[in-house]
Amino acid sequence: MTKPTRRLEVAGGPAATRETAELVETAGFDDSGRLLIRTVPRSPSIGTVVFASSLFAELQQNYRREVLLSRAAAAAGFTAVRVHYRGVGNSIGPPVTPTLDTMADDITDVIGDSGDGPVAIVATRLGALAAARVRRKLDVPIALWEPVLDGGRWVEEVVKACVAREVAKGGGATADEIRGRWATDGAVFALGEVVPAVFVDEVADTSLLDMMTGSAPVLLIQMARSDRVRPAVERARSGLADRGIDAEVLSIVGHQVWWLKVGGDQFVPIERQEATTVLNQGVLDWLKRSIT
Amino acid sequence: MTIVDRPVFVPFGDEALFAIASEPDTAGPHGVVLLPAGGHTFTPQGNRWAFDFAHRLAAAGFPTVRFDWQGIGDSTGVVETFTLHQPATTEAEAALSILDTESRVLVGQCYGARTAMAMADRTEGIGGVALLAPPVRDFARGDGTATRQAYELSTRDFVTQGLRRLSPSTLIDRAQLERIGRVGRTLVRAKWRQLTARFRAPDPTPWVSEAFLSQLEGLVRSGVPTLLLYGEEENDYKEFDEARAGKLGELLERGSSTVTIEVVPGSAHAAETVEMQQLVVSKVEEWLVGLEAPGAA
Repeated sequence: MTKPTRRLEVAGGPAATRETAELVETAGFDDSGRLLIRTVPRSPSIGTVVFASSLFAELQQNYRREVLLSRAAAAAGFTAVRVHYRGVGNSIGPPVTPTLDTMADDITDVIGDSGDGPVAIVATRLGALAAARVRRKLDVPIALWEPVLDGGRWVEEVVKACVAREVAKGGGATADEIRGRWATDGAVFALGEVVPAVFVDEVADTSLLDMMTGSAPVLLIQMARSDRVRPAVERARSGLADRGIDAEVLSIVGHQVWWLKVGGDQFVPIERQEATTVLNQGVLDWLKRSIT
Repeated sequence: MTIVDRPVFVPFGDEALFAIASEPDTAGPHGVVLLPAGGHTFTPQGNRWAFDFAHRLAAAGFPTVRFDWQGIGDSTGVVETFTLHQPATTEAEAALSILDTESRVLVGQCYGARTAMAMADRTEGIGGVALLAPPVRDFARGDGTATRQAYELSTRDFVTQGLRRLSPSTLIDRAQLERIGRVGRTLVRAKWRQLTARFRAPDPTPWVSEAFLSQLEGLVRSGVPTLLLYGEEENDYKEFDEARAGKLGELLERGSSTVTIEVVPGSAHAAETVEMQQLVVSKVEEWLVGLEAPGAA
């Protein structure tokens, strides 16, 4: 028999710190139970970079990339803050079903606590939609790694992944049946995790371009087998430019899924992948130009 | 019941492993370390499995540590690969050092389980080992199918199949060549064992890892309580079940007083649904609750 999870009260203990010649990294919980990992340069900080992660399997896939970028940012003089959203990752506190609003609030709170210096956001996949929402209140530069440009299309991809999983397991649910389960069960197992219907409903009607306000610069980062900019990314860039936003594209040749078959058929650590060096350098160069 | 989550950067040589200790206000004598599977997923795991795992065990009175291997999540360092017969015992020992309980229990999944087995013999104060879907064969990440076929197929079929997949680019790719070398060594070992079988005591399961058997034998000999938990739908269980026809079966018989075998529906290896994850946690919790206090025997 499966036991129901007991309702527990989890409090945050003292923060942990590690130090190197270049930086000091501290992991601890804030008053809302969010786990924050703050990486601070030894030299005076030239600005703060807050990371807006994705969710579900996309969080697991991309978190290491964010860790490496935040440490590279600190080595280059920036303070970097990784935040585990409420209800996500290692954050504690009361159960929270994440929405774009709760994610945006978490990022906004972290920016608010970061002091007076200039701030930028580096957002990943779904984190891009939350970062765009942050810009309604704070006009800060944002770098978007493989952003979800069209929420409806993202939902379609999730549904397709569900159908493919059903087929692989010998079942045969249609896309409509998957959508039906969202309506009746309130959640569907997809992307390696339980994806709540409330989140899907919210994301389905979003468009990054429509959500984007403000005038601070935007960096669109794509990672693909070729450095040819995908039409959807180019459309996003020109759409942002039409809104008066200085938008650039950083195109990186590499594999988004960093732990599979990067070197032929062999695992190559992400730290030694050329794409990581290009990504980190490209983002840091852009941050130095954009953060004021 | 209040639990305190305490983040820790655990020193590991020049590197630091990121860990979180979940500490209950009233703790028993056993502390637990969760040893993750080899892969990219970091401490909370999918559906926050390790997060819930740690809190449920802590709520039952077991201080529990979850951590990231080096090169994963918030740990520093670089992970080269996850190879079952090269377990990261020193990393796991570093994580273990956070616990100050009288007895430490290792709960490992897949690669983490094989690491727990390798540690149990060489580490003081191990009060139990829970092994979630430990593979009974040795292989590097990504080599599972090829190394199984080295035993199952004839040399001719195996080589023919390999040649079909070979492309000119393979021959200039160092990583590919290394993989061919690894799998080739398994093939030679497999065929040598099959060839010399007539001169030794018959072994119907020559593909079972010697390391797996010797480490399990160590656990049986030292009387360390051991839980082997598999999902009935997974390959790891099918191979475990087949392996019982050989030396493994004899070992399990000898260790029947300390080794508990649990088989649950579905896949404990993937444990991808919340229901499956909760079921695995419940089984481990039940087993932990049944452990005697150190020195009670």
